[in-house]
Amino acid sequence: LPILDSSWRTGFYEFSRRAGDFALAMTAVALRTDGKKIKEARIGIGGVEDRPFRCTQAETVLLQGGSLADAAQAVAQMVKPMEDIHADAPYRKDLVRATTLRALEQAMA
Amino acid sequence: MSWIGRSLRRFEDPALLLGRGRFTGDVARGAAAVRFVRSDVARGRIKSIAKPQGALVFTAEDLKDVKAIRPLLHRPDYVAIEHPVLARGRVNHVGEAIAVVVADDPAMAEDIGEAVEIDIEAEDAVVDVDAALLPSAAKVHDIGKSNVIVEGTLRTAGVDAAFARAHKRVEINIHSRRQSAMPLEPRGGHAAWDAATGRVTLTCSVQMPHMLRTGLADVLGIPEAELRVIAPDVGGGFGQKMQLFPEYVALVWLARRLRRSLAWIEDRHENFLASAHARDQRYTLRAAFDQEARLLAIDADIRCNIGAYSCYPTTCGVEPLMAMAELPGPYDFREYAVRSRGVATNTCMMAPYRGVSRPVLTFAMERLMDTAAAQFGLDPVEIRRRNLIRKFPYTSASGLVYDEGSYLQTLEAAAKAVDVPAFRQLQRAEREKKRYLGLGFSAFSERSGYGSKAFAARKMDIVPGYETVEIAMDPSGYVVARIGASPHGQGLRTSLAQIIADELGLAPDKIRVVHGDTDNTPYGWGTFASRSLVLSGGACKLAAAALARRIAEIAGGMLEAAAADIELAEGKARVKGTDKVIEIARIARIAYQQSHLVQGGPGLRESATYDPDGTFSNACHAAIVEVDIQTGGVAIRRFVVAEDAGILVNPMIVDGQVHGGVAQGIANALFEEIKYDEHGNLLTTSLADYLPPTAAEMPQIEIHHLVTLSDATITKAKGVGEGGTIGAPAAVVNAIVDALSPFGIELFELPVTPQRIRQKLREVNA
Repeated sequence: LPILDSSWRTGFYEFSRRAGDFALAMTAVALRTDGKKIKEARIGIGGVEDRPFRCTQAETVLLQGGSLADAAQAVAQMVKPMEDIHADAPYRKDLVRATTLRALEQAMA
Repeated sequence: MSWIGRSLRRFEDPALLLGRGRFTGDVARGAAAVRFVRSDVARGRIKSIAKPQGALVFTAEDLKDVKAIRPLLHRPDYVAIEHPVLARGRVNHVGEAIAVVVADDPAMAEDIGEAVEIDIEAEDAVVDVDAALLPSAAKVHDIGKSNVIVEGTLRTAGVDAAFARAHKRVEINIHSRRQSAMPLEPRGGHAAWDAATGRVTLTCSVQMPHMLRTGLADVLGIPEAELRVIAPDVGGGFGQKMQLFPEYVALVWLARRLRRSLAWIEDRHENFLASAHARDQRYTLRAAFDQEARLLAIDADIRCNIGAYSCYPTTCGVEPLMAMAELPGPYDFREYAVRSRGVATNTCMMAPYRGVSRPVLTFAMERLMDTAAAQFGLDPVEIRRRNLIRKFPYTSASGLVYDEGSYLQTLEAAAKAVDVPAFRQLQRAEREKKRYLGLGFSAFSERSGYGSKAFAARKMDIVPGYETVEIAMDPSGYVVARIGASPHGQGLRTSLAQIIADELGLAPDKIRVVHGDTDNTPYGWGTFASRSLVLSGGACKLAAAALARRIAEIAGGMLEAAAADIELAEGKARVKGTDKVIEIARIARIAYQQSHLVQGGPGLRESATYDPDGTFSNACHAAIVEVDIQTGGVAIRRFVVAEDAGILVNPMIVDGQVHGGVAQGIANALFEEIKYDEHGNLLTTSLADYLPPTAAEMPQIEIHHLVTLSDATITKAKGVGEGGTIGAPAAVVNAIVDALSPFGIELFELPVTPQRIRQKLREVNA
């Protein structure tokens, strides 16, 4: 993996029922910024669908000047969440919206 | 100097902490392995069972000489359903044992079990308690008119009048989902065949060894003399291990039939499927309040899902009938109507679990109080203040008599500890920042330490209650106390030694408490109903006092003083106010080796039985939580317990009981839920699906002890084993509802999971 230079900021947030459990949703982000302006974005989503994936739709939202909340909403809209005993699809959409917003806020903080 | 009241380190702990405990699995090493083949169908008729060739496999056909387990309540509303040791013709829940395999090792037994072919004609299962009550519901058992196996009702004369004159009527519906007591060590047994005597020694992880021996002998049709039951170290039970389970019957039967020693050690999956569950209950509560928000009357409809069978010895009446009797809890109201039903379904059997119904009924009453407080525009503390019991002895609307307690004082202590005005200020400030804090209270009573009279009033066929202790001092002055009670990890060897030490004027480390062996202890009952310290502690006090009198008599004879003038302290017998002293160990030596010098015969031994009416502990819990409204996550910021269990024999052990109880209560509030699908398949069969909280989810627990000296027990100690579990769910959920009050969200179910919180928030577009 290439070492990111100082123009990149990162953020991560996950939600699980108990400390150490598999996340019911998680988001890892890397943003290349120029001041507060986002030049490049990588948004990785885990625990929501059957495998982790990059959410390019949400990355595009950021690059086109959308807010962090808009990007988080974009993730929630596009995912097709798996369902299990701890989280149904509507709840996983809620969670991934929250984990994405928090990961982005952490990166931009 | 008194040993009572000191936080002595537990005598049990060095061995346990160093891995030198002796559990059933340790005893079972090297024995032949037993495996049960279980139903994967919730309801149906067994068409055929094909055993693999050359293997030791047994079914109900082979166990024809074994009776079914038939728990009894002598009530006209109780239906005496039977629990076969292995399924006879029909299965009634997923996990029911159909066949049993014996092999040289567990892996081989499992493989043979897989090769047993069972053909079951499946029928639609009855799973939900309210569905089982529908007139169209299929009947789980052929006997009785419906799926109602037990039904208690009570109605005071003025209920209708109270509702008619009420200023406000409040109705709520409560749903508690199913839980498991989930002891760290699952069930297990080792049945050792003794070729010399023809006896079987069953070592097993149980809370009631003497009762188990009686139950086994009855079902097997053998005298109890042919059986010895040992409860070695037990890794928790919390009620689950009170039962006479079919597996233990099968183990003893196999040992006798095959004349060999064999063991069954349950894994977690099997424990979830086939041991016992609890707390699957629904309540409809109607309450009448006067203008001052004083409770006038309650009208309750309680439905408890008892699963497919009735547990032995308490029977499936244990949840519904306790809910009926104890719903009034700490509140003073005179008019009460209740109908409480235990309903059979095609699910795993219900059995007592720490608190038995009271975590749910307290949740119901405390949600009711907060709901009513909101309607009256009152503070939650104030509405409780107006309704708590204040005068003692108090007779509840259901007829229970409460001894002296501190219901109001524990409420005030909890409210003071959390500093309600300061919290409200913080809550408002945080809400501005979109952080949602909430405060919740839960006041409750804990009926504890009751004897055979209380159990007889339940019309039980097996009436537990008393405890007996046989105490002896050996010739070197050390004491052994053989107790009928049977601890499962709660430190009785230490706390009972403290009680005995004070009577005998000896250090507790000279006192050894022997328990959990039917060959070596007097008949007794065991661990349940917050009773061991009260009952066995009371018997220890009586027996030790008798022994102390005997020692004083001998000392008096030797010191030429009246026995009444002898005091025992620090290992010595002394004529009060003099320097005339003799070592107690010297007296012990003389009592055995120079018995011709002693009046009243040789030896130093006494026994005593204690069987009191019972006592009520009380407490108030307060929780401060923060709800993350985006994820539905709940963090407990503070947890305060103000409790009154009378005299604390070992405060550290009491605190440990409170900590563990609160942990299970928080589990009940936020985490743990047994789920079945609509066909009766169990969905939660591992600790990835069923979520006991870890240390990371636990708050610091602040405990404030109040001490009411009640005459209800001779030690002035009250039971405290269940209180933490009883109070915590209501406090936590009331705090969550308070946190979510800006959104107008109400919650009336357990557990409150993050998903459920988000669902409620979505409904209001938050």
